Amino acid sequence: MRIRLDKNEMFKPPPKEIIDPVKESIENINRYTPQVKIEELIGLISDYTKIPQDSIILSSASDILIKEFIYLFARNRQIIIADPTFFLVTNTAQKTSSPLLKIRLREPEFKISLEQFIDEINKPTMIVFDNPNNPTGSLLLNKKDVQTVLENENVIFLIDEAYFEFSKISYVNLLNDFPNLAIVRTLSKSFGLAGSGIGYILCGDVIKRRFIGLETMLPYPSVVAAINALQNLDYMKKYINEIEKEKKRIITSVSKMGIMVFPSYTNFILMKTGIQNISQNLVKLGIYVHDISEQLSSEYIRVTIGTEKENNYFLSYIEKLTKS
Amino acid sequence: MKKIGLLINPIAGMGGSVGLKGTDGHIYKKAIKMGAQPITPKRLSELLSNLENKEEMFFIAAPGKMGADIIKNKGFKFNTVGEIGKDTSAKDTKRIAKMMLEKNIDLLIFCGGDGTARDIFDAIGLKKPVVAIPSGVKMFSSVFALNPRAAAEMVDAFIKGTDTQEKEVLDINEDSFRKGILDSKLYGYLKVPNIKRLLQSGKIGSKINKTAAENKVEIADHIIESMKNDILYLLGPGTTVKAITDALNLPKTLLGIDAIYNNKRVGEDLNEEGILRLLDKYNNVEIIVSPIGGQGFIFGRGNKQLTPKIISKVGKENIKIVATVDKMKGLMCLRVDTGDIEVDNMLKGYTKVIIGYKEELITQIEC
Repeated sequence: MRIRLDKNEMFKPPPKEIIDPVKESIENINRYTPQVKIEELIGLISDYTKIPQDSIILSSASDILIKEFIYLFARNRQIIIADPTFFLVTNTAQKTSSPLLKIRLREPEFKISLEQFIDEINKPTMIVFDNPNNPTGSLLLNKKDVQTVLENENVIFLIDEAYFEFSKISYVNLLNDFPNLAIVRTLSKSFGLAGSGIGYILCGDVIKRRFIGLETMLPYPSVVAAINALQNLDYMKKYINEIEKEKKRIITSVSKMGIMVFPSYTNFILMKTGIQNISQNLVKLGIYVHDISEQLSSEYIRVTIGTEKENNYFLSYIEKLTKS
Repeated sequence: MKKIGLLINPIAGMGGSVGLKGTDGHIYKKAIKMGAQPITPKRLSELLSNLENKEEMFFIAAPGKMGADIIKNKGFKFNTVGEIGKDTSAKDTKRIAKMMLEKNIDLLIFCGGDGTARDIFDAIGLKKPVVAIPSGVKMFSSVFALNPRAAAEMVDAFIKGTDTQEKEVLDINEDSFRKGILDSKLYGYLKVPNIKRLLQSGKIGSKINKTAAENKVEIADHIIESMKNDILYLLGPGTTVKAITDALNLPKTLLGIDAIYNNKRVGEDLNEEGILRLLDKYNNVEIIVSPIGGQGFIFGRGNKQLTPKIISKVGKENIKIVATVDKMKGLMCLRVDTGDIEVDNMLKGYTKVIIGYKEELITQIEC
């Protein structure tokens, strides 16, 4: 058996209501995506987020939007990120010529306090935080702290809310008051559309204008998948409930094995196993979890919540490893 | 087929179980009288039983209880080298390690404590990589693997082909340690295999793939760019700091404190007195240090020459900390143990560590 619990994907495909229209859309694969469909998708995102349509930027996957955002705003700014964070953020920030300041997250909370960096933002700064954080699953900053940071005009702030549907915590309602805020989201995680890759940024006009000219063609099947997903929100909510149940079960089980688990507001769990090179040991058993030895140490793993069967398989082997 | 030297210090770690903190000098006889049992044979056996690529290994073992007694009858191909008497000492470790070097080993596995690591350093230096099995008592040198199983993984990684990295060997004064005082000096470096992560097919490569050597060059570039004229720089021990003087084409005492001023070395392997004399002469001073060992000490381990008096005089704002990403990733915080609680408290709090070119990490001193 080979199981993949390393990419934070949804454990099963979306239902028929989403898959069937996608299959039909393949019939028109010779055509570019009709503009009317793009507009329909923007309208649905607007309904879903309660943010006006003209504050939405669409792209293939949030990864691209995060990269574009960093490259667009890095010039003459220092960049502040969490450490650890989504690897794409670190890699992209390192490819700019801007000074990079990382804020070390410390277990067990893995949070950021204003005290850590408030003295650093007295010059032009771009902050990119993922909230919840990947790979720790924690919420980095509370709303009051985010507001305090945004009140500083030196700052332009991108918050990655890829896991918002799991955490149910969002700062979109600050967008009205703060033109220096942007929020990026994806349909790859909670909507189970990782292979379709649709992401969006919610932001004010000043930021949006910088993206003009960077629009890319979105694949028609991806747009159809996203439209139908947003028209059928119930499946996403049902999947999240299933994940929450499995998450609790896994946390209870591994805690009994003496593995340290950290609170997670996502569809994955960070575990401190006490076993060096644990991810390599699991790979040998056909279990792929995210190896974060490069960011923390080799005793930590990030484990995506899978199907009940996959989770049982993982639990049985991790138990054997802890006992050996 | 790789030739692997195998050597254990049969008495290392015996002091721990009877509370003697080390077996340097004649303390081990006291340990035996107190009922201490040998530890290293078991630790070596544990490593051997966890090795996966046995067919690709040929061992050159130290004789008798220093190696051969443990490896025999376990299905390994091996020869022995050298002779030993009833009691063994540091001289045997050094002599046999040198003989192994002459036999052209590819890797040396040894088991012992900080003292054994120093003997191995004296014998082979950086000529061959080593895998160090800790003997059970708390080790301070970062050259040691976490445990025998982790050491076995390092050996297997070496067999499959991997690069190496330099790790610190510390000199702990065991007499002081037994009195509850941790008095340590950086003694040298040994090369250990760098365990390569098994590749997982992630959605995009999440690894930066920067070697420690490249990382040190980046840090040096950052420091040099920020260096100013008419400032005295006190440079602490270690290879990360040495990379700065390498880039400046200046000599540096690897294990000691040197001073540079306007691109010239004005102090070499300084002690407290020497540093204080320089502080009287130069008004603007900065200290550049790197955390020592696996515990993240920036003062109080390996750089005792930078005394509380000197640190206070230079001031917290004039201390620059440099460290590779690899070293920082395992450290939840940095630590200080200057011997003066007031100075320790003055140093505590959030600080920035230079971890690359224009790349810094905010972390906490003392967690």
